[in-house]
Amino acid sequence: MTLRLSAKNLSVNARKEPLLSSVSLDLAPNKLTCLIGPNGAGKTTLLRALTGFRPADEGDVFLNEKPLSSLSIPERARLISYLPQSRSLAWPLRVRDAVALGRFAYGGQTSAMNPRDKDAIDQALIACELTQLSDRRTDTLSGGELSRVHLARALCSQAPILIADEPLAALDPRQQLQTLGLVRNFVETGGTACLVLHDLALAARHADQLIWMKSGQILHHDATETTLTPDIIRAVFDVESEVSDRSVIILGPCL
Amino acid sequence: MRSFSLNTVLLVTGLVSVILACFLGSTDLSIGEIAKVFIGSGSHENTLIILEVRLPRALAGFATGAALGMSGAALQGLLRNPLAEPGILGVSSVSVLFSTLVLYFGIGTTSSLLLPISAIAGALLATAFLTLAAIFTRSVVTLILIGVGITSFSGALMSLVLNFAPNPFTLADLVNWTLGSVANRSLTDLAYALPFILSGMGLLLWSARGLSALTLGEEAAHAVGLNLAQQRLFVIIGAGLATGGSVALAGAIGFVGIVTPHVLRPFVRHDPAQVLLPSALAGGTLVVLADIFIRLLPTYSELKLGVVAALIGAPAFIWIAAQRRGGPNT
Repeated sequence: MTLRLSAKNLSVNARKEPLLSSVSLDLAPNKLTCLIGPNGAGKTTLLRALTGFRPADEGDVFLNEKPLSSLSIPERARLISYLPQSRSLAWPLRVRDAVALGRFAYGGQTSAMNPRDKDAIDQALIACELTQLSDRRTDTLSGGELSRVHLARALCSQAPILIADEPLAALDPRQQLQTLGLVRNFVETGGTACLVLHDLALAARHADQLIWMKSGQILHHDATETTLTPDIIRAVFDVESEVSDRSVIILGPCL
Repeated sequence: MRSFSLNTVLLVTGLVSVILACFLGSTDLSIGEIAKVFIGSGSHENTLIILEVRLPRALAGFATGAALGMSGAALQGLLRNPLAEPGILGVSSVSVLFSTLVLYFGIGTTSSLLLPISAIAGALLATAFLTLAAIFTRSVVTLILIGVGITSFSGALMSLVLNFAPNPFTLADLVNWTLGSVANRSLTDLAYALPFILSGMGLLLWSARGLSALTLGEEAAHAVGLNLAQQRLFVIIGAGLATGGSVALAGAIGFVGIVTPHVLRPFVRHDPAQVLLPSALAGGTLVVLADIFIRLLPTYSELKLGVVAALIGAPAFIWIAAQRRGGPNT
């Protein structure tokens, strides 16, 4: 199943301050979209509005043509998987049990999963190279391993849409590439992915689409090739840069 | 499977402890005499001793401990913090305050229907207030702080009540109540409190699955399909009913809800949903055993259960808290 996620005129206010003002976007299947912008641009707020954790005050989110608000919470969870920034687990679960929580919306008990759930969990463990670690306590894992646990949790829900908030934060370059490879795989099998990335160079190299955000607004939303220009980088991040093909070098702050 | 056999072991231990408690008292009864009572062919006097004195006391202890153990485990799962207990949200303290007021104004005695009703009313008032707060705030920390505020405020009101106690006799009565005990409970007392305790525990077990999801944090729990508002509501009402019922039976007994789940977590792979039932069974057993211990101590006046629970529980609480230094979610 492929699914298009779109938003029309989303606005979110906190204490009358606008966090998002009239944001519209369109996330297509088979595309890896990266959401980039400076701190405080409203990226996390936008993701929370897209996943319904903090519904927008105005505007609507649509899955294909269906409004997100018309879905029940478990229905929504089976269509959109979401990785928030926070990765800490309250209790030191075993890796397999933590990944199994991705099947929560299908209704099984963690202790008694049906074969379909088990299959999905096994596949996610294999994809994220966690099979060896499946019986380890999550509080004994490295940061990279823990982030793979969360990704496996998201993948085993088999939702056609994956949204992740800084999934590469605090990962070494190899782990970053491994994670991006998994997301790329997901996208190529019909998935719709949207990642918030802080590393402009990584986003430029790996994204099919870039959404440039600043001050609660989307400034540009288009294919990476068309929007990756020094002018746009200056307008969004306030830095001078050199762009050749898909590589970006940041030269320094704008004077 | 694993937690199934754990529950079996704990259930058997609980039954054994309740039966053990039936042996204890001023009249020595043999195993044969006690067994006769249970199959209905004991002497009138022995039946009276067992069914009116010893068994109600043991069962009251078990029900109290079970309610506190499960409420603690559920609140810890909801708040994702092993230090949470019915006390931290102010549920116990408001419940104790309400039952104290009933005793203070002399409207009820320790063995009337009014006491459990007021204890449960207090617990439900605290939970209703917290439920409102939970609807308006997404933050668990805020919820804990509100609970701390409620605890302090009801503590202050309690001091006020004790301060204005009309005579030494009333004061002693009130202090006794706040210390917590299961001595001299009747089957009638049990019958008043049990429906609340059981329905509260039922609600907690029914909504246990969501506690597993909450391990990931609220945002991710919502993402995997948990209805956060409903989960909070069920746990708060469930813990409120169970805790209110336990206060009606035994007054304030602390720390059972912290210590029991902490010890049991490794046996259920740290799953906050699967720790609920074992915590109830072990909490009940713990209180019955503590009560047996109190009766065996050769003290001049019998020690109060709540005092012993705090003497053991408070250091354990500090130890658990100190262990968490540097861990996640500190």
